[in-house]
Amino acid sequence: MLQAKKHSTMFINLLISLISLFMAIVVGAIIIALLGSNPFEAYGALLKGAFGTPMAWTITLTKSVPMIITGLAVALAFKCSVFNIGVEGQLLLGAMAAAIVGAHIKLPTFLHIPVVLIASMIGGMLWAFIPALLKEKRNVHIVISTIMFNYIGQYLVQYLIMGPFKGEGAALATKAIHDTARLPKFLPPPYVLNLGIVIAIFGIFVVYILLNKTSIGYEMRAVGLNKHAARTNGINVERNMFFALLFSGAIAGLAGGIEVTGSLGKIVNGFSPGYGFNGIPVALMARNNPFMIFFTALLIGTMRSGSLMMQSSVGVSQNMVDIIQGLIIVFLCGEHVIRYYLVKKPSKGGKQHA
Amino acid sequence: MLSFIMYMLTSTIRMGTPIAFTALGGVMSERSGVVNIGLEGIMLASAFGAVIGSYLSGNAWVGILVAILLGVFISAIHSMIAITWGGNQSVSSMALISLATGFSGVGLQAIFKQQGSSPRVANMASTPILKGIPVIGDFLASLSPLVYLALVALFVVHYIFKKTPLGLRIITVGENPRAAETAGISVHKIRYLCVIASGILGGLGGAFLSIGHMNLFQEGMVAGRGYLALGAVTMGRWTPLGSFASAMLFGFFEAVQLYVQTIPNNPIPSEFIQMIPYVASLVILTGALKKESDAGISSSGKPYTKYVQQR
Repeated sequence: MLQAKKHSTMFINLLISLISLFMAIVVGAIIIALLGSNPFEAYGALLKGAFGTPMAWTITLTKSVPMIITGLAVALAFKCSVFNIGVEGQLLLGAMAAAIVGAHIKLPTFLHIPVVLIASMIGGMLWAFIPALLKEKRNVHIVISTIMFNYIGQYLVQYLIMGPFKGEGAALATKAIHDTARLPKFLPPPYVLNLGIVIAIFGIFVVYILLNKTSIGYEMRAVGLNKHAARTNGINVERNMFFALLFSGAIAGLAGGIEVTGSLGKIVNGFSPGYGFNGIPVALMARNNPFMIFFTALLIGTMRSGSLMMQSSVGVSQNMVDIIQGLIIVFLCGEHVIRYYLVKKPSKGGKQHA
Repeated sequence: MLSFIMYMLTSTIRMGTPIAFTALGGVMSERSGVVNIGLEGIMLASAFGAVIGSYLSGNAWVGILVAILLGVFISAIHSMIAITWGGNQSVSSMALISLATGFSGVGLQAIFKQQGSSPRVANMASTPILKGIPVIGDFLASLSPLVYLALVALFVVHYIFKKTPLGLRIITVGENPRAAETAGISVHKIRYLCVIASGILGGLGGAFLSIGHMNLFQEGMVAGRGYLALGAVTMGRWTPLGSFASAMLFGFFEAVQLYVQTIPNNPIPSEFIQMIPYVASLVILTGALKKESDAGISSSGKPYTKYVQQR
């Protein structure tokens, strides 16, 4: 009985995500039409850009990898009611740590890759540590402090790229990392798919187990569900939020590390097109479910990957994807309303949407 | 020396005014119990709107009007999510920013057929009508009329909170919505009003960025000023005067940042100087808040509904 109820809740959650996505696509189509383009052509070009050739397939998958991981980072913190907007900054610092360790330390492959990835996680964790500490000690709002740390991190990384770690040549980039630190590729050169996707899928399982099978994950979820009840039951709410932000930062850093070791091989100034911010709709649409994140990241990755084709062949700016992404979040924020119409079963005391 | 002081004063006012406008909006919204982290998105959308209005009409005041309309539009989305739908207000802000980024990018392509920035448009960087005033006339005339409008806005918002029943109602709604409802105040109406007001003020802040002290729109030109405004609200203890002063302090840090960059052969890398406003805001926030006493507005961020008892 309980099991059946759980399944129907999951089904309704899935339905809400799909309805939100559908509504965002429809409103997006109306906007495209108002701009004077054919929405079917625009969306067609987007899909063609993302999946038109085998090459495009591998690019789309590779672009989705950092979004899977940043989505996991956002979701993990969210489960403990911590809204980590600082994923972008943590990703940048993680990437920087990976680029430094990858280029300036010599190790055999089987050691180098893990060392670089661990370095990236530490980099991301350090960038989450200060906002976590400020919250713990001085009650500075995590949302504000992590946003400020995004900007500070962005300038710090820019300085490191142009200053102490600038590589040879005119390009604004760090030295290329050693080949021993590069993630192996699955297919011969023109194709880009690398081991990163396997690490991302592995990460999904790790986050799932951490959240659902360990006592610290249990405490975090308890805090996320109801702080006051958790506190009454002897759970240290502040400490759990502190660690949730640190774990989240470490995962965000890993996303940067995989970008460097898998795709880029070094850091170019401004290399992240906002992967950290894309993690938010990814986690939201998946309702913080690690397994669902794989699919929602793929969806956002597809839109990002195909949008260039939409811009070049139909003339609809690739920023259209930002609008659709925003609309998805808007409709997901209205989940209570959608749920009300789906379930139509007012609870005791009146309307369902509380 | 005098010219240095004048330079710092002018650029503090120039950099501080957009933050101050937006912070006043933040005070309105936060006081009524609606967190508005989406101020950044409101500024972004209205900075772009101001350029469109000014470009299409050739008149900067029309630009201001369009900016306000867009600010209202974006904040209406936020109020719908936060008030009617009872959604997560922090998450909603990400939607606002994403929408504003999207609309400005798509708009640049659709209207100006270019990316990154708009062409130059009519702006309002000075107030020539004040030139006749003796001694300080030249200085006053060199500021945008929006600077004076910001002072008017400060006065109005301060007056509302200190002297009017409306101000009292807003405060009650923010502190204890259920008591307000019992006293016959419509929580939803007051909150809608306040969030829309934050859209109008944020719209003016955004307009100042694009046509108040520049004459074009660039992608990324808001650069976190919406968040700085939010910091100013917290620093100013949710009061109009305090927030305005804090916003001007951030303006001062930006002015310092701009000034240091002009020093020839300065040994500090420019990236560290660009960090100044963000680091300063964090340092001040850290110093300004004490752990227990500062929970802020008590029902802030919590959706309110008549029907189900709040936890």
